[in-house]
Amino acid sequence: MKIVIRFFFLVFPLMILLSSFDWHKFYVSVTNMEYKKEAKSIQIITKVFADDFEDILKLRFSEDVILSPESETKNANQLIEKYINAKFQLAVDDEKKQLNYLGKKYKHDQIHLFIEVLNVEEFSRVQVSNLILTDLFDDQKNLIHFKKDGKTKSAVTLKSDPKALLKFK
Amino acid sequence: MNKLTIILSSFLILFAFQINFAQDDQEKSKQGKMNENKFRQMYDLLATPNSFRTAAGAPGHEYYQNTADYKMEIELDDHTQRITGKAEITYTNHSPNVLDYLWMQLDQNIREKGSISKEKDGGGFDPLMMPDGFVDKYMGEEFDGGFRINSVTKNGKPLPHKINWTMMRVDMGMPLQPGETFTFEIEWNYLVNNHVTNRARSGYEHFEEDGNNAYVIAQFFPRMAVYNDVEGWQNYQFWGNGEWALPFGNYEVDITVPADHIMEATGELQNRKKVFTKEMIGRYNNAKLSFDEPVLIVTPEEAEKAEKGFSEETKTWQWKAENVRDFAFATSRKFIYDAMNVKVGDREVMAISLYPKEGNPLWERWSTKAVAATLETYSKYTFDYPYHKAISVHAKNQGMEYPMICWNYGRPDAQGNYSDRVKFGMISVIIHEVGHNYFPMIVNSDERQWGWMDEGLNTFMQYLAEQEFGEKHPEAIKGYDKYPSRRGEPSQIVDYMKGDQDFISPIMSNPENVYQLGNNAYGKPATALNILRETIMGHELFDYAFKTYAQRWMFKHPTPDDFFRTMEDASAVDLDWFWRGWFYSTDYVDIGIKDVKTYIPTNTPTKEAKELLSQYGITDPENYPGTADAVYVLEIGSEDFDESMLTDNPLENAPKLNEYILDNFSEQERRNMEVPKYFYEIVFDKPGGLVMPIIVEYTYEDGTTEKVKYPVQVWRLNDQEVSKTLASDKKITKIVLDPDLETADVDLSNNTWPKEEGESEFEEFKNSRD
Ligand SMILES: [Zn+2]
Repeated sequence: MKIVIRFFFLVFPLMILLSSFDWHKFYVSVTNMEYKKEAKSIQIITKVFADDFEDILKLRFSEDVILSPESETKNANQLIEKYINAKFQLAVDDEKKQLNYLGKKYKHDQIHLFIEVLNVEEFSRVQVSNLILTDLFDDQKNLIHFKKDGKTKSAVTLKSDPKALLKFK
Repeated sequence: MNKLTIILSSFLILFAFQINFAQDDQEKSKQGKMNENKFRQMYDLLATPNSFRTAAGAPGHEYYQNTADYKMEIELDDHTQRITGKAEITYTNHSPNVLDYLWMQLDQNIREKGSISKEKDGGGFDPLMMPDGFVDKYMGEEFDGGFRINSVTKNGKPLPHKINWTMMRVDMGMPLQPGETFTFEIEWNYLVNNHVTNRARSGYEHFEEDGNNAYVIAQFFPRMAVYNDVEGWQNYQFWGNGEWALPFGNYEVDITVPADHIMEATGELQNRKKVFTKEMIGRYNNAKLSFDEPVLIVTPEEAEKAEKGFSEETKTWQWKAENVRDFAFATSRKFIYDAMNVKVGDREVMAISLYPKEGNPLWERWSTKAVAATLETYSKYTFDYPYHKAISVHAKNQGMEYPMICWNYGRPDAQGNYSDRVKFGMISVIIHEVGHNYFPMIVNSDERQWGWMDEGLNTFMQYLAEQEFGEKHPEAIKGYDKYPSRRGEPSQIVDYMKGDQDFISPIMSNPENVYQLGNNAYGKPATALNILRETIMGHELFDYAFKTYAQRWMFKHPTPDDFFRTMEDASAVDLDWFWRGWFYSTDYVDIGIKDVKTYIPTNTPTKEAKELLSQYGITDPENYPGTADAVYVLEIGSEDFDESMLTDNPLENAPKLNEYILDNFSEQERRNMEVPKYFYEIVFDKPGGLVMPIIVEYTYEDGTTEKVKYPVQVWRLNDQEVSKTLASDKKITKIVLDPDLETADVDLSNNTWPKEEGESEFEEFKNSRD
């Protein structure tokens, strides 16, 4: 019981009860995915707010993580990869795919995460599960856009509804 | 030269007609429809103008607004974090109507035990639940917030009143007649929430290390609701997203706090000599003379010393404010205090910052300068800041605005280090919250109904102020070519606008009924205004109209209609299509290049031309008097086309055109005449629902470029597809739509001809690693 309470104090400051007055604190990530036929790959860019992402890495891995181009923690990329694999899943025609985290780029107050999926043959459905940052904020929303053959399908995933099925054809 | 172009383009019309005929044939069986034209006027959406609000978007000759004046005594108990208050409220009915009752807002009641706002969202059990979420949801002890109303009286006699959650009706005994005033008293108290753990727009932060609290206090008294010509009494409860609708009035507020606290608040300090030390007054007077650098009025050393005091004595700070719509204050013994003077028009305004030592070294460097820069930019585009001061107070993780005073985040780590992100986040939020003095504190729109009217306009202005801040303080943006604004530029809204339509609402939605308030009320309207200014109207027309709106509605209550109407009325730019598309719908911009055809001139009637003319009974055009001299354009690669027709002299295939030129132009004129070799028809399609001007960049074979902007009106008669023709003596090698990303086009893959896949962000990144 005591342990739970301690945890409560650690985490509670980051929970949102009354949200939204804050001028930029609207908890949204954007993931742009594109199927490259020739390369048989899916290219993924996930954009998250850097400060939120830093907070969740600290919290999950209990390490003092700094995500900033000026003074980045040494093992930042390892932790990010670990986190992505825990929170983001992708299946193509019901076959779960391996995500390859390539790296990241800082852009204003956001981080762009680059992820690649290889050996993807022609398909008609993609299942995405995206729980990124929903462990930090109850009202985190994750926007997903998937482009294939010039067409884009979009979805939003939430903590309470983390999966999206995108059908092509 | 000009004449020739005109002649040729009129010939080109021949094939444009032909396209229309073909379409008519296919669509004969379609049903009729109502007017769905994207350019139809907004009579169906705007309220009928009247004597309160004119069709021009200005206050009408019978425009009125009621006022609420407050005399209050407030006491803060730092031990229990409880605020106790007593108010005498004078409400004046300037409306032509009899008021049967008054309504007040009790916003603290959103935090009362069992508040129904906690149940406003649906949702099942989470598929997986972290221990913390579980604790929060099912085990946390509920905060005992909300107003305790001790009494509502008139001249000491109880007044009947009814509390309906976050609102309270006060029955006056007899109706309030037009022009009459009603004065009554209220006594109340409430428990102040910790705004860091229990996120809210006001509250206190507790500092574990030294045991102090820093208070940023607002919504601390029962406030009169707005009664007006569009809503009657404002009757939308406070659910948490939609903020306030408040009448203007005068305030006299006495606030009693521990004697070692430093305070700032809305209004002029009446007893500075009693609450400031002699030293502080001297420094304050120095600050009034400093226009470049802030002067410390309470130093870090003094604040750190005060932190240890915990005085049991109290001190009362007396404030007086005129013509404000709300009142807020910040108080703590931890506050460092600095200030400088800013010249705004012919007025002088004090820019002030209050921050605990935890905000340094960031706050002493930038806060007051950001306040000053904001006042300068906003005043230029709206009106001279009318109050005597603007204050930025450091609160850990919130940004929130009140008249003259606001709370802002941006805190270095424990060692005092901060990243660029923290610095720019802090400067941006200060600009934003100080900017809210203009919208909605002075241009007092109804935030409860329309979040975008203050957030959208303010975020737009914030973008301008940030860019100017960067120009004024190059040392602040070292390493960047301009201030890194995160909202305002069209490309930044694309990810939102192209998204799943199930999770997008029109801007014209109540803040409670939108999925992504940040994009909905801030990002999208700010971007829309930026596009209006940069691409649709131009700076001069936009700035004049925007300023007209701000000045017309300064210290008044505008509606969305007033804004839409003024922007058109003051600029003579019809924008109904723009408001309808960007504000009332969730459509997005996607314009593409569908096809590019190349033609050469010829005197031989083409197959298409023959077909067209035969519909008018002209079966032998070469011998028909009206068309005997006509010039036709022949598509390269079409049936009638022959490679041999591609010659250096474009007139070879059109001898009659050649003769016409010889007969009608002098030798001198002919020498200067460049006869186009190429005739292009470019077909634009529009997968997106929004109409926008078509901005095209043509690149010619010699490397030169030409940018052309076709007005949005090209979509009037066909919302799907439109063709443009172009005559040129140089071959076009490349066409790019929206080359400078001005329109928030969500799909750039159809923006170039010939189709070309540029290196995507992903490939760029991947290649840079190799
Ligand atoms: Zn705001």
